[in-house]
Amino acid sequence: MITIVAAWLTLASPALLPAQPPQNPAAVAKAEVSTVPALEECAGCHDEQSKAFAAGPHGRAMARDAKALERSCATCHEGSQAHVQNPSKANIRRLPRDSACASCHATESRSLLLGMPAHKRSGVACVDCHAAGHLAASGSRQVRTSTSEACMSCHKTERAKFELPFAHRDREAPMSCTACHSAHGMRRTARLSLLDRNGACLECHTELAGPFVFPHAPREAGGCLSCHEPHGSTNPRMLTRHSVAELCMECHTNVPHDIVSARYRRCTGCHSAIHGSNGDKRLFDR
Amino acid sequence: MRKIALAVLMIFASIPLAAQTPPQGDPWTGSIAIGVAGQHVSGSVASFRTENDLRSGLVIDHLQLRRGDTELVASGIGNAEPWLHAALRLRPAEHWTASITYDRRRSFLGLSGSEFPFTTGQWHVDRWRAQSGFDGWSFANLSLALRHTSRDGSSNFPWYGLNEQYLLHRRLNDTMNEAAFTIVTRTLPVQLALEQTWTEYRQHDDRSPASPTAIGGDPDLFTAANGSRTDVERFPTSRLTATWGSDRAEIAGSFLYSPARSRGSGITSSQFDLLSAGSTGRVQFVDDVIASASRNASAGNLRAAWLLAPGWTIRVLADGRDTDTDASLVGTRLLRMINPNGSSLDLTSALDTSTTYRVKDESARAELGWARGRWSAWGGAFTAQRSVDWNVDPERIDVNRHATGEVAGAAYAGPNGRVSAEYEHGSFEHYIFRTDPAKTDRLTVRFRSVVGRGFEVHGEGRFDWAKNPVSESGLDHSSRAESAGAGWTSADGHQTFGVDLGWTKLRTVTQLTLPAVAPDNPSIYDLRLMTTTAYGRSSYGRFRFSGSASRVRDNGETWPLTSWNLRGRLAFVVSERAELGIFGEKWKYDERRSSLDDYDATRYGVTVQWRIR
Repeated sequence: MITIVAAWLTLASPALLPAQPPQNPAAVAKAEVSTVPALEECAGCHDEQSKAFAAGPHGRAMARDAKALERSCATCHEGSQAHVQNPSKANIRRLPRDSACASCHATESRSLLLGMPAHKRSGVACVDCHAAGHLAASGSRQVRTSTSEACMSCHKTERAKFELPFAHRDREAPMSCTACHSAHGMRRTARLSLLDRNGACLECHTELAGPFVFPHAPREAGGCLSCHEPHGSTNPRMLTRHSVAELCMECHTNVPHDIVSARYRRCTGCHSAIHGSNGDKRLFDR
Repeated sequence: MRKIALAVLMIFASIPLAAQTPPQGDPWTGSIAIGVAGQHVSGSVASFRTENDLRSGLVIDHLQLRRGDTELVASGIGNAEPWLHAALRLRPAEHWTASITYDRRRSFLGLSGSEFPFTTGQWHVDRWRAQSGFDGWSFANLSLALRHTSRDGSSNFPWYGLNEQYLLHRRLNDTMNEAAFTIVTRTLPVQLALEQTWTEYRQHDDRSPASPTAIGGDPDLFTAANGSRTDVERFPTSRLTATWGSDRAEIAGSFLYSPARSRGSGITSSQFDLLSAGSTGRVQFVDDVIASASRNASAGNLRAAWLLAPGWTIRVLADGRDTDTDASLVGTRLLRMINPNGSSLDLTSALDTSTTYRVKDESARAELGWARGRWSAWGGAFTAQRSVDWNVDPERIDVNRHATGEVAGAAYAGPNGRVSAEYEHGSFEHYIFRTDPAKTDRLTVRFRSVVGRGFEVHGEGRFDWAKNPVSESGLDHSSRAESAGAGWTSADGHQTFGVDLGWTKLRTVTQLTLPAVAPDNPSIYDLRLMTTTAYGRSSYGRFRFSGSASRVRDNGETWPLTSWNLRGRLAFVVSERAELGIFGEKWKYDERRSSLDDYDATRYGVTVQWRIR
């Protein structure tokens, strides 16, 4: 690890390579359009919004490129030139289109089309989840509310499951929706996709990553969701059935036990290394 | 841990020291809220702790301090809440970002009414993360992240001992360390992102008997257990992602490779006293084995979309995954029988077992989409191939199967709401695991409408039908999730009131009859959740009030229950910078088939908040 850090220091040392100001082609192109009103002009009427924008994360990011900040209102609010000439609610776009957001956040926009078309098809716009630049956001990444609240305002079934007794209930870091799901459809980073499948679960439950000498076959092929309901369950282990026996015996119908006895219905009472064992092929914990 | 701490220091030392001082003219702004909470729980305290794990004590409700680009946030510090979060984010120099995040989560398990009343535990997980980013180059951004996670605590759980279930105590002692390096290009026509991680997970076995007596009433006593075993897993992961886009086409692809290695070695032993006719014999099991496994996992995907004509898009997706695991277990297993008179007999068996497991998945999907104005529609087909080659001597599974399917859907997104529906059908011709559904049909419908005047209605339904032939498993599996709700919100800036009503039905019927579990009925997982939430926020002069009440009632056949949660908070604005508040919370949890885990909890406290401007 020390070697990695040392390599990092060498690679990223500003002394070795002269730093250049970041160039955002879209922002530069927009800045060159001299017909759009500048931030100061808009502030003449919208002083509060202009100040909030400049102090907010968008404003602070754009402050590194003075021209981009100067033209920032027009970037999101189409029709600003006409609006300056004739201030009216009818000739200005109040909420930005997705294309305005994409002029800077191109990667997110692209992944939305490629990887998560459901949000795109359902007409979910950027501003449905994210606050505009001059509105206060209570979540990170300028999300309007907490990330989980934003997701659950549409995903009601999942919201209901979180109300069950056993759930990944914290809802906020480290267990917010986006800890497992990618709202923009981007593929998970390598760190989260430890094995491509199960990656989100193993981020926290690393002890179950394996590889094991005796794996539980369905887990290897179908992943954690073969048995677990991650949002909430009536089972303390968050299984997809209320009792262990109901779940196990759907596959293991020919168990050599008298399952009338309660001890044999607690399958994982003996087969406690159910995710995989390094000692016993019956998945006993040896 | 020392290595991690050193690495974190090195990251921050890499940033020009002079630049770490915020600009002198910038004042600190933010707020801090400190509180003290007390609580009373009647009924099952362990059940309340399992579900919530809140306690009495001091707590930092929130802390947020900001000066220039430096920000410190924290919450939950203290013992009263099960989670703790702290983060320091700074932009120490132009083109540099850095952050350190710490999270702690405390967990407890102890349920008397569950099928595992003997399984108990309390543990906490600490997560450290340090990250640094550099965007000073025109052609690429760099970032480095280090993570350290540790889990401490203990658990008791049933464990198969001398032909009987006994209770084993295990002290948890796990650590995970990870370094991740990322480089993302900025100026190339194709954006490339290379991520490389190195992860090590280490677990030490520390076991002892939690109780000498067997759960099943067997007279033999579990008198000792020891473990010196350490399991280490190392898995570096490399990933390359490439994206390219133009006005008419977008393409993204990625490839991941992760060679994982695990090795566990050491001795585990257990000892039992055999009681018979007044004399005591003894049995010892001693395992001295080395378990090693290697797994090479690779995965790739390609996604592309072309704009054929205005409104028409064709989308192609392809995924592949190949995981190949070879493992072995070698060593000796000793059974030592000690007679009451002191003589002993050793039976030793040599272990030399090897296993292989290979699973390969490939899938492809093509869709044609159309969108005009507020309407969109799509349809397509997919194909998938799975092969599993599993060898655990003497068992052997070697199966390939091919699946095909179709999908079609439509959506409307108007100014007052959205509605969408999608139908998907898939089937395959060979079984790998007997419960895999041979034919699956899935229908998903969803609507949401903002009626106006603060009213909103929504509905969602997801219906799955899966059929298996009787000759294979006889499973006729159906699952349906339906929810509907309505909400009303009145907001005028100073006051907000709202009500949400929700109904969700989740029902899975497997048509599998389990004589001992459900003698007269097939296995059913049935939830019918009615959720009611009312909330409000108001201010009057220097007083501010916020509160909510929620009730969840499950009338399903599986495990019916009712739970309540009430929250209220009243704050008095003392000055522009100070606010004094009191809060109260109430929980009531009632399982209808058992009262062992029911509880009634009340929590209350005061908070003081300062604003720093």
